[in-house]
Amino acid sequence: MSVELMVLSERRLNSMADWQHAIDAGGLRVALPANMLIERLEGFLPVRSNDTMTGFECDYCDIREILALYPNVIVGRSWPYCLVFRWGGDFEACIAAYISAAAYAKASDGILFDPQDGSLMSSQEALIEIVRMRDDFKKWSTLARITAERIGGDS
Amino acid sequence: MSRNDPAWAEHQRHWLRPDWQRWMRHDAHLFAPPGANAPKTYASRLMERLKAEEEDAAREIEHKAFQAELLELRRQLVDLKFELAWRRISHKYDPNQPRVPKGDPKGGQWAKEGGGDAGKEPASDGPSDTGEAPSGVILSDASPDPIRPGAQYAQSRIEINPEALTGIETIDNTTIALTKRLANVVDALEDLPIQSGPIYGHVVHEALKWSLRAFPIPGVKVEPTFGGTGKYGSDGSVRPDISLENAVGDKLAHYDYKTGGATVRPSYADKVRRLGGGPWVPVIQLSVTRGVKIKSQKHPLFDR
Repeated sequence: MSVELMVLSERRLNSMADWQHAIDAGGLRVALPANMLIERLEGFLPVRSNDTMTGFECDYCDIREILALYPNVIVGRSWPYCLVFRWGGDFEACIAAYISAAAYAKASDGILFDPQDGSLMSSQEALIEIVRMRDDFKKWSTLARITAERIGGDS
Repeated sequence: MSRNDPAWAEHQRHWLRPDWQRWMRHDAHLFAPPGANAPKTYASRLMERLKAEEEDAAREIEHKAFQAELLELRRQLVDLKFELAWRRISHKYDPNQPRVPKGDPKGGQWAKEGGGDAGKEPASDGPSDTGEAPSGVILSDASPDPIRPGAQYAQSRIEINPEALTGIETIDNTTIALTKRLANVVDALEDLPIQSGPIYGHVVHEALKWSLRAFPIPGVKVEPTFGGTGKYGSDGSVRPDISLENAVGDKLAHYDYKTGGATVRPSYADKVRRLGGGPWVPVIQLSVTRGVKIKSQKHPLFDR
């Protein structure tokens, strides 16, 4: 199952350096690829998180598509830009995506939208969520593996 | 004019300096008759304010200590629930385990697995190809259920939308098998005290991923990479959750699992099709909706 997180923003960041600066300013440990052009973000973006190589998919998306898919979400105002983060069942990828999205939102005067919960978050709230994830994720991941072994196969 | 006359009081209020108390000696109340409501001096008001501030600070410290204690208790409660869920899933404790029937000297006690004490067949403990899952889903795939549009499987709210059916037997049978597997995962995780949407999504995904790797479904590839250099982690590549391939590697369908209210973006589905197989390959969404949606709880102690 893929998990997505979207940043609705007032503007786009000019460079990966600006984005990296926003991450560093928050004291967060994610390193973006410096040689990539931010305007050409599409598909998998390899990053280093806590000295581990991981990554997530990152694409610009038409905000009208998001509003059409989630008509009940009140975003409060018109946001011209939307950056979508997408990842699978990887703990580090999830943390890296959340950190990167929170930093991007803060630097571009944007907000985060979690389509799973249908909730909007400020970058500060996203950071709180990251703290909670770091506390709990590993034990839940262990439980997920036990569950997988427990339920067995059906085919 | 009497001092009880409102007109006199109004005259005094109008003509008296607003800072008239500055011209009163600080111990003026000592000269007032017993029981008189002596005006408060600057010093006494200052003392009262300082005392009130001290009381507020003490209350604030007490409140923070209470909040911290409450948070710790909540964490302990989550840990306890986690431990309980862990034991339940590990079958050290299983509320569905058969009991010895009434009338027996050991009536009401847990029956041993395979002992047949309970008068019914106990569920197999290990991975099984046939048998009945706790949720009541028949797991045997020897003769798969006929496809029933709109049918609901297991206890979970997982349904097959008729629009997801292609009419191609291989794809539709795989769709049903994946749906059942997802239902089993969701049922197994049903009682877990997960309060955060992202964490719940992660746990479902990870359990399903490991389940499909440990007990594969024919033709199903978990998180394949398309685009880029074709290798995991290459720039610009995409990874759908699952792809179905035939014996020669042709892509037959892509699957994407979603939790909560999330849905597959049409632009993303187009991209997966473009990079992985072609525009005719269907992208099928399997959604999981929890019975009770628990929003993530924000706590002020995390605000630091």
